[in-house]
Amino acid sequence: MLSFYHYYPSTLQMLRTQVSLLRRAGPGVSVLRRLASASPCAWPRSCDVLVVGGGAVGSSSAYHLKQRAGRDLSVVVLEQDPTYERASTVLSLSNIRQQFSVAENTLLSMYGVTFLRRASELLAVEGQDPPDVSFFPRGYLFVATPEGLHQMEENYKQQTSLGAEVAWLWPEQLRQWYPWLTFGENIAAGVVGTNNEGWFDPWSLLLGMRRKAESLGAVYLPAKLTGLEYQQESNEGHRATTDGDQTTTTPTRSLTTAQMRLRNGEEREISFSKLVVAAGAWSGEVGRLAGLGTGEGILASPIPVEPRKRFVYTAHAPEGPWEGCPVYNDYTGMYFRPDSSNPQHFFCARSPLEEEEPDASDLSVDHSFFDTHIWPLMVERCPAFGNLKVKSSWAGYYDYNTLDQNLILGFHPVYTNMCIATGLSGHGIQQSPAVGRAVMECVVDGRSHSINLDRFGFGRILTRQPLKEKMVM
Amino acid sequence: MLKLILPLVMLMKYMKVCSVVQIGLLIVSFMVGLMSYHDFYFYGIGFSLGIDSVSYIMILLSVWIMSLVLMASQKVKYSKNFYGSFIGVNLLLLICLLITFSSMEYMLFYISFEMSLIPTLILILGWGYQPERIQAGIYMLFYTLLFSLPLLGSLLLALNKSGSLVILLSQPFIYDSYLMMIWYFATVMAFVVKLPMYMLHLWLPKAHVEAPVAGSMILAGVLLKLGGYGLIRVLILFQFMGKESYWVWLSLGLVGGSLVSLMCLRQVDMKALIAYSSVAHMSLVLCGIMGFSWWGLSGAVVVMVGHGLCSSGLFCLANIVYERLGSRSLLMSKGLLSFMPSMGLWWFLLSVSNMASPPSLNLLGEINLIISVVSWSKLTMFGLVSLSFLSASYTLYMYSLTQHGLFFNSLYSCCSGKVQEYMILFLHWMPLNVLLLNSNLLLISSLIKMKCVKR
Repeated sequence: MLSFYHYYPSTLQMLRTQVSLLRRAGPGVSVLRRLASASPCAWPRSCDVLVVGGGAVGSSSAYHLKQRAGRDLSVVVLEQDPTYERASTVLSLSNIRQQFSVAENTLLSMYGVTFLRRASELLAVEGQDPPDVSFFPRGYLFVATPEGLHQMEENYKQQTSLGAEVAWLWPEQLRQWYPWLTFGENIAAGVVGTNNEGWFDPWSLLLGMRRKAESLGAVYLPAKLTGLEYQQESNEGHRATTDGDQTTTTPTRSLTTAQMRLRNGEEREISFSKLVVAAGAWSGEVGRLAGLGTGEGILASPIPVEPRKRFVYTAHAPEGPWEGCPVYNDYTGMYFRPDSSNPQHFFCARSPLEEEEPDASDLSVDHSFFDTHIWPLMVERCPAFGNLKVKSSWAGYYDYNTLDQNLILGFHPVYTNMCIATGLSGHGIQQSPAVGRAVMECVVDGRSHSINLDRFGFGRILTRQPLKEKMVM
Repeated sequence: MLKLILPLVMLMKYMKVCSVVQIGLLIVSFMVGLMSYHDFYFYGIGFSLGIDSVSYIMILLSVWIMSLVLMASQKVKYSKNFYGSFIGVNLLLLICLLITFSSMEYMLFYISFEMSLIPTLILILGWGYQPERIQAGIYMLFYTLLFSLPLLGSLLLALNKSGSLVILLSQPFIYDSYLMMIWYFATVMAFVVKLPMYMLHLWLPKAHVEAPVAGSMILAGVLLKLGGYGLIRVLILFQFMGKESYWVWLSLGLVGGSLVSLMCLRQVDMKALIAYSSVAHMSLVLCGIMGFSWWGLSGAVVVMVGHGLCSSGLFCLANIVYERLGSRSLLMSKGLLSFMPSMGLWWFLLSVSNMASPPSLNLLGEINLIISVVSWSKLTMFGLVSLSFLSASYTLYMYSLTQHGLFFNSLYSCCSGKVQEYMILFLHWMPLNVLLLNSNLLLISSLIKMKCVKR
């Protein structure tokens, strides 16, 4: 149950403050009004579910939990930065596509689209305007070289079998559909999503989910998680790992309380029943607070998520392909899309190679990266980009899963009440509604049953079996 | 009686040593048990304290429950949360209860009745888990105090009228003017709030939920019975007025009990569900006592004992779950049969006794109560049907929701139950189902004690 508490060190202190507040209200005020005004508001001291991270995944989890349980579950969300200055959610390009090679990813994004289409109805709060997520279903265009043709065909078959609306385009059709793009001989085929792919506004989605969750009773606390305490479960439940000849067994633990620090330096504590790690790029740090990565056996594996910096550039191309331009995703990893709020402006980005990873300690932008890695590819694909000018740029973090750049969802084997929902590495915002629903199902039902996400469990981190997206080359 | 009270006072010296007090209390309860084959009308007389059948049952119940309470509160010791004072407060509460149940004088009874509120309040405020316990403590304190001040006045008036407040010497007052109805209500309201009756029951869910496990167990186990016991003692004086106003209590009891049972089905917090079920049980007890018939009084005493053991055991179970899962919400604590399989046995036995199924004490008591209520008017069958049916429904709801269902994904279990927890639950269940075989201990067998005037 959610219980609020102006933080006191002891019961006696609490009583004395209450009495002094009553006295302060003055003799002229009626007793009842003094009693009503005497309770200061409040800092929750215990809750049922503590969600660490108030970004897209965290807010979506809080929303879905509250939607399912209402007053029956108390949900508290810890968000260290209420302005979301460095959160990946609002710095992302927020594209949404169905074209994945892992089937579950496609299903997750398909639910994301259904959610976006119904967002103004689902996230409407009484007395306020419904959120407008500005979903532009313009499609995603992937192209492949002859080497990647086979992979693309497999992906295409799987996507259509799952119900995704995608169309296969041979080079002639590509040239017919997109006359403003030049396709050389090295392009063998392309796949474009005819429906349910495009981009939307991440701020509206985030704030819509947050506002709806708060209206249903979730509490957002502006604090940073600084510590986690656990209790040893028992002598019966053990988890074992074998490393060569050595087997280390770890008894299961359950997390009990979290310590947090407010912006003004004060420390607080909250006790909970289940913890959801949805801290995005900082999920690895949250794991370290629980000892993941610094222990023995299973506890030696950290949550393999770290912040990786990615740049986005806004360019103005006066002759650029404004009308009917999809999100174009090149086989080299470069992608661009039009900025629907700004005519003739385009967002361009590219994932750097492993060796070229920029330093992630701050969000400064490397402008030369555009000139060397992105512009030539853009010009090769569309000559109209020859005379573009970069207007602005920004950088954001990927919550990069170093193992396989895909979602980690599920309970940790040793910390049996820690549900991890992170590692989405760049396709997080589009899958956030579905991941939030999966978190809700894990917490309440024990496993995510709407979309079977067992393959994304933490077990694959321990057994080091990556579940990679097979990128089309 | 001093043979029981003095050892308890001396146990307080060993407040810091938990094991001595636990064993000491079990020895005291054994000593109380030795007195069960009493055949005097009132015995153990001295210092205006004395025991008769009803008192004896209540004393045995309170010492028994208190020893189980101390066994169940091991967490207070482990978290070093002032456990010396905790044991001291509990022992003080037990002494107050013993004096209350064994006082032979109404004034001493009243004083110790009020006195028992203070250790309870300290228990809730000092060792409760959540900040709402301030409000819970205030509700409990002021509900009881508000209605028991008229009780003081009415006892003084009784002293004035009859010259002595000794229970043995009391004669029923002749009902000659309607003003005596006010006197009757002033007296009875204090106990009816404590029982609690439907419209005055708001303090109970709050106090039970916010109290620590010890507080909940002792509240549900014994303190509610103070109301019933007081009613049995005080109605000797007010029989004629009681006869006229029985329909009030009967209606409030039956209808209120059904409404509260419906509330049970809406609860999410396990402890709140058990607390509301206490109100439902006690409302039937109220109907039985107020009728002041042989069947009714016997049934009321038996249900009080059975409910005390059963509710106390269920609170203990709820705490066991809370210590492991960190949440009392029924949404989170599902599938406990997979999580703690052996505890499922105790959940089953205590739930089944809660809905008065054979062979539990609750069944015996409810049969007696139903007979007494129906013998007053056959129309009461409607209320009794809904009360019994709903009591079964919420108990099954609670059992099924907590025990059945999926729990987590992986093969994961936790400590199904420590031996100490099993012992506490066994000691709760054993009297429930075994005492039935010797229930002449509980059924009040002497008409003289009730001083019932022929109707």
